[in-house]
Amino acid sequence: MRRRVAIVLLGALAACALFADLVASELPLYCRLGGVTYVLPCVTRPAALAGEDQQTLAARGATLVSTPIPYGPLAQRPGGVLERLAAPSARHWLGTDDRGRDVAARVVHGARVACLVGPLAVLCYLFFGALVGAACAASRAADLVLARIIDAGLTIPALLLLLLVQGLSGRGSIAQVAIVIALAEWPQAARLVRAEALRVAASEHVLAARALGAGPVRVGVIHVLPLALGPIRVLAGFGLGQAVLFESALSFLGYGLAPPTASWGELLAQAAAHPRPWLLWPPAIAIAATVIAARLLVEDRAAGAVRRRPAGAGS
Amino acid sequence: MSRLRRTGVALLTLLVVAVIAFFVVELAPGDPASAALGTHGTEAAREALRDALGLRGGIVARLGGWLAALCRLDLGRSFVDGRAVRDKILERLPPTLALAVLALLLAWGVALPIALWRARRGGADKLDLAMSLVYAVPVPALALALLAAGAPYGPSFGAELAAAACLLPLILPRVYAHVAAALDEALRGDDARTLRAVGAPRARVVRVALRVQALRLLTIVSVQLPALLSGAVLVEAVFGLPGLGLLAFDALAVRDHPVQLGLVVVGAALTIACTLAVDLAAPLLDPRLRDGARG
Amino acid sequence: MRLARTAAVAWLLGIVAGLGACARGCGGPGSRAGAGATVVTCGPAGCPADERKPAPGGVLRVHVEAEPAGLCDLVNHEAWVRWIVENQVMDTLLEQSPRTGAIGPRLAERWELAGTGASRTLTFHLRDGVRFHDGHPLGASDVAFTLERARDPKLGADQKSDLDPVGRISAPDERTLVLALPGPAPFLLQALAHLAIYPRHLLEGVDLRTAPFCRAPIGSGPFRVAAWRSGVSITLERAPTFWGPPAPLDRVELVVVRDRQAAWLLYQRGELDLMTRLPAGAAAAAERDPRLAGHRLYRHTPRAFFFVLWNTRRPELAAPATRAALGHLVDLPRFIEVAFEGHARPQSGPFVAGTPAYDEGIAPLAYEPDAARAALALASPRPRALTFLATAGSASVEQLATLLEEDLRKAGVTLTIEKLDFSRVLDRLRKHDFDVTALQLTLALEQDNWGLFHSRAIGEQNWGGFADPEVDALLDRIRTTDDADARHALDRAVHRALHEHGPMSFLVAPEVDTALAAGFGGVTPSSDGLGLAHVFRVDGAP
Repeated sequence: MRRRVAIVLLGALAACALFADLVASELPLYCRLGGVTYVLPCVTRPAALAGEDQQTLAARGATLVSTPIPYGPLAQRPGGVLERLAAPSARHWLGTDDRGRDVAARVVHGARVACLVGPLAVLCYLFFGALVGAACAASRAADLVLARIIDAGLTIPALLLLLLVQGLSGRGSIAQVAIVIALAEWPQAARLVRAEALRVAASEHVLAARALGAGPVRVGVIHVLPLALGPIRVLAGFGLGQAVLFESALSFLGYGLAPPTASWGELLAQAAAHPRPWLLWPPAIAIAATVIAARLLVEDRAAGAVRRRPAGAGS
Repeated sequence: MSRLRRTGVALLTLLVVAVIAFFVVELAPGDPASAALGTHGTEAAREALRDALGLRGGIVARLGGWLAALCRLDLGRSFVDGRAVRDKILERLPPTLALAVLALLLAWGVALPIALWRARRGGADKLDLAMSLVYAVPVPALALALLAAGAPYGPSFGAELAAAACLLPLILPRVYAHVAAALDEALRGDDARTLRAVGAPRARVVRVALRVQALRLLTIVSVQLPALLSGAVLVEAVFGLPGLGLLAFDALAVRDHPVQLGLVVVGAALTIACTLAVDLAAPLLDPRLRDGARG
Repeated sequence: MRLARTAAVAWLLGIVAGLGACARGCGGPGSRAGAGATVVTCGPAGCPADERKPAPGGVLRVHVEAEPAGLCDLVNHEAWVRWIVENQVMDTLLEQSPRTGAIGPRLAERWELAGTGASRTLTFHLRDGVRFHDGHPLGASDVAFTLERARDPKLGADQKSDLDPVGRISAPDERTLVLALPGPAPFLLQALAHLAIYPRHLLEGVDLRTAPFCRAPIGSGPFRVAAWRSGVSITLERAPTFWGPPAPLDRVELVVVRDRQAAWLLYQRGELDLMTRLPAGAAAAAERDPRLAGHRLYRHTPRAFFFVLWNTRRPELAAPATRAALGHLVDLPRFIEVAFEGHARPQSGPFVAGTPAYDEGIAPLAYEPDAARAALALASPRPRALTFLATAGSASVEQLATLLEEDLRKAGVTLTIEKLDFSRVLDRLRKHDFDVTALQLTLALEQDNWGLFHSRAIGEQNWGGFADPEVDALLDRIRTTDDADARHALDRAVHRALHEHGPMSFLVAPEVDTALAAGFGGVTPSSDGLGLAHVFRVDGAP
């Protein structure tokens, strides 16, 4: 049951990310203006409609089928009207932000960022963490050096790393934010994998493989790595939610994605500067939903695994 | 591992941290002289300042000099006003330390009773889920909300407490998860089962379980320190606590290299010292780990 | 199931609490128009005089947004430093009226020019009986010492370029200072009105940048630094050794509160008495808040101007017509509404509006998107993709960037916004590694624009890479014209030229609200500070 809830939530997130343009856009789903028909201009973005939005098209007498949310995430003056910090109303279901942009549209498009930053960051740090962790099991010398590097990574504050990465590219892109999050989180993954890898490396079947003459790389990749990945699955669930939260903290400090990208973190940062409930709660609930869904998805599998293990087998 | 070996390893880790931090800080783009002089500085002034700050010389030579000074416990002088970095850090350490200790105590104070109740019931999945809800609370918004609700401002105990409460979303889920897992394990373990079989009261079983897992629970403390330091930045500004978090943020903004490095080293040293202390105290807590029994 | 229900109830309570908390603080029901703080508009003629009766004594708690690294304005370049120190902790040689720009006496009682040509000298006669806070008398040697330090190119003081025309500095006795002026020095007196005098006997041979002196400077002003709690507050107290009328207040506490929202909460709670800038939306809420009845909001326009800078070294931006077209795409009325809540005055040039240097006849930038789009279509080479360099931490710059992004997008130009912290932005500006940026700079009443627009300043402050021989000649002549009227005519010519083909699109001079608690009066906010030496406690207030 909980698995189903998680899948529904994550599915909604992915759908928002994929179809954001069809849900909230300044151009309509279908438009007929002066004899010319446009199908899905919100996706195709024809040059003839550049500079127009649904409100001006309606004013010009075009027939159109509008998107559920008739505003784009970047539109500050839809139809030439600037309404900043407007409370939720029939026109703007979740109100507007400090620049007159529709909050509901920005929440929907923010899902795109969450969908990209989260998994990208998690993949990065799991990959790197698993690699370093498994390499620790290769030899004692490797373990000595790499374990110290992992410990060092655990104690260096994230802010410092942020500065380096931000300086290298400075563009505030999704990849850059994902890399920062990965740099901050990889030691945790590495530590867990290392513990598991060391345990597996001492197990019987690996010793047997070694006795049969398999080289260290073969042993590492084929025998140790797959078994050492167990704890990572739980970390992935935790990590997805955490990546989204980290992105919001970065936005709050002023170092997030380049404007005018819509992200939940950016809305929270605005909520801190202009305390309004419609700026605070929608992104907070969206983040919470993502975090819970990710945890549910992963935890269920882990819990199931625990239940299947015979009682009294110890840890 | 013998005590000497453990200490050696800890020092080696600290060295690795220092070297990595040095390269990260030096390679990060941004010129301290330019940051200090602002819009009006001329090239001549910037060059003179770079000389005065000791930014000449190869990076390896400067690394050597800095490490040598570090061995003498000399963290250098701040680029901004020339005061000793050690003094600046010591001046700002108490509020942040108080914040960290309070946050940990609060997290424990909340997590332990709930985890005990959970262990008594034999597990509560929905409770675990609710605890991960705490994760999603945005810290800055919580801080501003507390201040608006009447929390005190300025370096006082009340403000420290409020700020520590704001840091809970960062550490509570993990502390709770570890405590719950540790208790679970302990109560399923041999000692607990033996006691239960013998008919000992519930409270005694729990106490024994806690003592057995004490080591693991203490380790959690040292792991949370870096997260607390990063989170401190967010709350120190709102509650007016003159701590290390703000010092770090400012040092980053003006590229004050000695202060940045000093903060990383001090933070790492604290974390490593905590871990080392717990490791060294292990035999005292768990007789099975005393040298001689296992070695 | 029970837990899920409890969790749902908790969330609902949270939502209600959130909405309720905002209703209180966001001007919801329960507040009436006119019931709260009074707005006092300070026009170009200054703030209206405060007729209330002063009572001696009192402690004023002032909000400061950032703690400066030190209080020596020669080496600490943060805006707050000058504001705290000038004519409060330390004295300047001369005084400049913030309204008229007229130079008056302060430490120097009178001065006269003598001689002609290469042997021209400017002699200052210093006031008698001035002592530093440690009792040591202030003399011409201290002034000479300060001037030498200020014009040291290695120190990087802001006033250095204004002091360049000065030749030999000599102090024949402690009451007389003689400056050799072989050539014209139009900005010298203004610079001397903003140069705090340092004590030679404490700083001879000392490196000012690292001197502990800057944590507790000894000056000759009406206040002295009594205490500095790092990260918390700086306390100034009335100095008994001051040569002039004593300040009414006993103490001024400069409280460091980095978050402006938090500071506003503290002000409303009565823990702060003076806030120099209010956060967005606070002014409107303050006017309706009955708790703030009796408080005053001084609305004034500091001498700052906000502008968009185009990099003229880029081929697409080299043609003035293209820059003008792009400038017309800036939606100025909306920007004023979004970033300053309608409180900003459009500005058309780099001079203080209302001074003779500013040509009132030049209209500020108009928002003409259709004409601009047509002009851009004809431009060659046509700009297609531009990068906007934004300073992290400046809300108004970011708001301008997003506004511009939308308008440029509709005109077929993609704008990528890069957010970096200020020191990196400066580095890239100096290297001309950007397409467009937006900044706010402070103006002097007699503004010397040489550093911003002269071709020889490329690589320093001429970030736009602007090189125009006509403007160069005008700027050079301005620097060598002592006569004020002639200089102002040249200024107006520069204003016109920059408006027509300069690298900047001039936008606004923002207005600022300064809030003062009910029990105090006598505040005269301006770009040079608040005049704390004249602030008093109102008679009858607790």
